[in-house]
Amino acid sequence: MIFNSYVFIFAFLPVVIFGFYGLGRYSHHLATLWLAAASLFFYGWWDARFVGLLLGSIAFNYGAGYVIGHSLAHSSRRAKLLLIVAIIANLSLLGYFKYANFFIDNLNALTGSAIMMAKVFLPLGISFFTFTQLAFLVDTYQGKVREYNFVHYTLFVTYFPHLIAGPVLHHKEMMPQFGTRETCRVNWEHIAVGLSIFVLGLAKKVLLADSLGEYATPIFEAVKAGGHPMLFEAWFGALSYSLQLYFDFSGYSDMAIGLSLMFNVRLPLNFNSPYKSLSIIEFWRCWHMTLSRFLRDYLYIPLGGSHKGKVRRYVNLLITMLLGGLWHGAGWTYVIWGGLHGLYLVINHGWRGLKERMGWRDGGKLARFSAGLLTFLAVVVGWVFFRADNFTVAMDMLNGMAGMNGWSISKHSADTAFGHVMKDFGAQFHGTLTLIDLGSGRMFKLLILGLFIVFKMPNVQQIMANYSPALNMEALKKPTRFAWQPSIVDAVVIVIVAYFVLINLHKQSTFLYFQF
Amino acid sequence: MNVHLQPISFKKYSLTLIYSFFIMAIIAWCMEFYFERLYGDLTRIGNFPEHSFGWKSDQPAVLPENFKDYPMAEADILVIGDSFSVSRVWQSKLIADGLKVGTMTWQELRTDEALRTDLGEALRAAGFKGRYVIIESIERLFQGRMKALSPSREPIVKHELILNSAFPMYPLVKRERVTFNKLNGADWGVKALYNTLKLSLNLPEKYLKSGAVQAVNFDGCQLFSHRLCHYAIFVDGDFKKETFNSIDNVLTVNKSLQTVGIQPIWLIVPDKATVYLGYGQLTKYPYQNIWQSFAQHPELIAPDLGSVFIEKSRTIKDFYMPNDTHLSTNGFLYLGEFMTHGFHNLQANQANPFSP
Repeated sequence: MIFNSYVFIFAFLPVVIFGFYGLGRYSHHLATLWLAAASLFFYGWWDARFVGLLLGSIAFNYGAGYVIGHSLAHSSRRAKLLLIVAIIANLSLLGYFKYANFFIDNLNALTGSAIMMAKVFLPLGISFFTFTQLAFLVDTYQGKVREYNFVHYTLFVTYFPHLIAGPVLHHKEMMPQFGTRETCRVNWEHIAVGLSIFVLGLAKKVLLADSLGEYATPIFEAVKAGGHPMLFEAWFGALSYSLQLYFDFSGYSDMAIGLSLMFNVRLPLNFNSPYKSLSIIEFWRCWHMTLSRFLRDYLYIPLGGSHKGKVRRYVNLLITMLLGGLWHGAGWTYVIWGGLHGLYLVINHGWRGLKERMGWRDGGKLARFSAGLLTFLAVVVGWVFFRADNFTVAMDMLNGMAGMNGWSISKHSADTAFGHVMKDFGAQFHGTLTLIDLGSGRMFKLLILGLFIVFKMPNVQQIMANYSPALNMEALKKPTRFAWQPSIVDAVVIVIVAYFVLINLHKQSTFLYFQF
Repeated sequence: MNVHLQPISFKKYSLTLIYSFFIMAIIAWCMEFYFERLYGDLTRIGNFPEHSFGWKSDQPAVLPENFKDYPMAEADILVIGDSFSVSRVWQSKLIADGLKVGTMTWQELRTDEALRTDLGEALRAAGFKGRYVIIESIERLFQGRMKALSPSREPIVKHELILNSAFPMYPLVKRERVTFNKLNGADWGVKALYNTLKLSLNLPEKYLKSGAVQAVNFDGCQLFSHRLCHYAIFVDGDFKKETFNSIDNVLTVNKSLQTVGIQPIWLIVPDKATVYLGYGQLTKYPYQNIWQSFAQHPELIAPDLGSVFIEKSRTIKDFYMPNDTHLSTNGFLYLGEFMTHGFHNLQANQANPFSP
C-alpha cells in the first residue's frame, strides 16, 4: 500500500484512525496493539511473503536487545559480544537480500568464474528496518534504552508512517511517545496540522515529483539505450531528476510526519530545504537528516570521527560516505555517488580549515550566491551518478551537460535572426529534446516552478513551525511569513491543493526511496 | 482582520478538510462508475464518456492461436503497418487460412515512418523470402509517410512479437467494468463531465471539439450501438490530413519491391470520417481520393477499401468502433476475410484480385 493511493487515503487511514482512537478510549495497550497490527497489514499489503521476515527480525532484535540490556549489569564483555553477534546477524540478513547478487556478479566479472545465483528479491524497507534496529541495539549497549515493552517495540519498528522509507528512528525518541496515554486521545490540533502536512506532502509527490519524472526517466532511459544527450537535454534530465528526487522523498517524509502526527506521535525532521544549502556540509545537515544522523552516530563517530587528526577525519568521512552510498543500493554508481560526496565533504572541511587559518570572513551576497550555486551544481552532478544505471550512462549525461555532444534549440529558430546568430556558435536546430518524443514547453515550466519552490519558498515544516509538528524543529531554517493557522482561507487552500491531487491520484507511482 | 483569516477551531478546520476530501472522492468515484471504464482511444483523448460512446453490442472472440507472428525468414507475407495491423486481428484470418504472416511496424523501419528507396533489397537482405508485402497505412497519415522516401541503408530488423497472456492487443468481447485498481482518473472525469453537460444541452453548433477529437451531429443509430448515437466522434486528424500527391514515391517503392520478386499490396485503410461522413467532408485541405490515384496505375495492387468500407459500414453495425479511430473486431475480421479472398484470387492469377 502506498500513501498516494485511494485505498490508503480513503479506506486504510480512516479505519486505522477510528480503530486507534476508539480502542484508545478503553485501553492504551489495545490501541497500540491495533496500530502495530495495522502497520503489519500495511506492510503485508505490498508483499505478504516478507511479513514473516519482518516479524522474525523484530523478534530477534528485541530478544538480542533484551539480553544485551540485562547483561550490561553483570558483564559488559558478554554484552559487547552479544552486540557484535546481533550486528553481524542483521548485516548478514541485509547483505544477503541486498548485496548477494551484486557480490556474485562482481566476483564473476573479476575472476571469470560463472557462479550462478537466483535473483534475490529485495524485501521492502529492509534497509530502514535493519538500520532502525541496529541503532536500538547500540543504544541498548550504551545503556540508553530503558523500556522493553514488546508491543511498543514492534510498533517502533513497524509503525507504518516510517516503515518503508524512513525517517530512521531512534528508540529513545519514539518509545516515550508510544507509552503515553495521551497518545491515544483525539487531539484535533494534531489532526488539523497532520492532515494539512499530509496533503502538502502528497501534492509534492503527485503534482511535482511524478510530473518531473515524466521527463527525467525517459531522458535517462534514452541515454541508457545508447543516445547521446545534447547540452540542454542533459541539463533538463539532470535537473528534472534532482527536483523529482527532492519532491518525492521530502514529500514522503512530510506525509510520514503528517500521518504520524494524526496519531499524536512526532517523527524527526528529515528534510530542511537542502538545496538552499551554501555548502556540502550544510547540505548533509538538511538532506535525509535522520540517515545522516545515523551514519554520524553509528559509523563516523565509532570510526573515530574528527578526534584522531585531520587525515583520519577525512578517511573516516570518505568511508562513511562510501558506505552511505552503498546503503542506497547494490551498484557501483551508488558507491561512486557516495565517494563523490565524501570527496566534496573533505574539500569543504579543508576549505573551512584554510579559511580559519587565513582569517577570511564570510563573503557578502555574491559570495553566498556563488556558494549556493556551486553546492547545488555539485549535488546535481552527484545525482547523475545516483540515477544512472551504470557508469557509461552517467558519463554520457555529464558529457552532454558539458556540451561535448553539441547543443540544439527549437526547429523554429532556424530561420530567425536569433537562429542565424546561434548557428555561428554551433547551434543545431533539432529541438531542445532530441532523444525523447516529448515537448519541452511543459518541462521548462515545471523546472521553473520546481526551482522557484525549492529556492524561494519556505518548506512545509517551516510553514507549520508554530505547531511543532516534528522532533528537532530547532534545526529548521529561519521562520516564514507564510505561517499556517487553522482559518477558512487556509482550509480552502488545502482543499484546492487536495482537489488537484485527487484528480491526479490515479497515476499512482511508488516512491523513489522504496527501492533502497 | 478578514474574518476568513481569523483562526477557527482545530476541530472545525479538520472536519472541513475531511468532509471536503470525502465529498470530492465520492463525486470522483461516482463519475468513474457512471462514465464507465475507458476503452476507446477517442473517448480517452477527447474526454468523452464510455457510457455515452462505448459500444454495446458484443464483439466476436478471436482464437489466440491465430495471433501467430512469423519471423521474417519464414513469412510468406510481410505486413508493414500501423496500429490497424499491430493488433494482428485482421491477419488472424490469413493465418487461419494457412498463410504465414509476419507483421512489423512503420516505426521499426527506423526511418521516421518513411519508406526506403531500396526497400526490396533491404527486405531481402533482412532475410525475407516471401512473395508478398502488404504496406498498410491509415488514410490520414499516408501522405505524411510517402511524401519523402528515406535514403537510409541501415539493416532492417523485425522484432519478434512475444505472444503471451499479457499481450495487450487481444480485442475485448465485452467492455470491461470499472475497478478500483484501474481508474480513468478524476482529471479525465472532470473534463468528461463538462463534455457530457455540453452534449446534453443539444448544442446548436454542429461540432464539439475536445482535445484532438470532434463530436459531430450525426444520424448514426443504425450504424453504431453507442447510447449517444446522434453524435459520432472522430479524431481531428481525419479533417486535417494532407492532400495526397505522392504517387511517384509509391511507384518508386513498388518498383523497388517488384525488382526483387516481391509483389506489394497497398492497403490504405480509410479514415473513420471518410467512411461515415463521406470522401473529403469537412477537410481543411483539398481532398484527393487515394484509391482513385492508385487506380490510375495498373501496376499497383491497391484494394479500394474506401468504397468497400463505406458499403460494409452500412450493413455491419459498429464496423468502426464508436469510441475509437479503429475498426471493431467485426470490422477487422471482415478486412481479414476480404484479404484472404483477395489472396486466393491473386494466387489464381485472376484480374483485379482485390475487387469487392
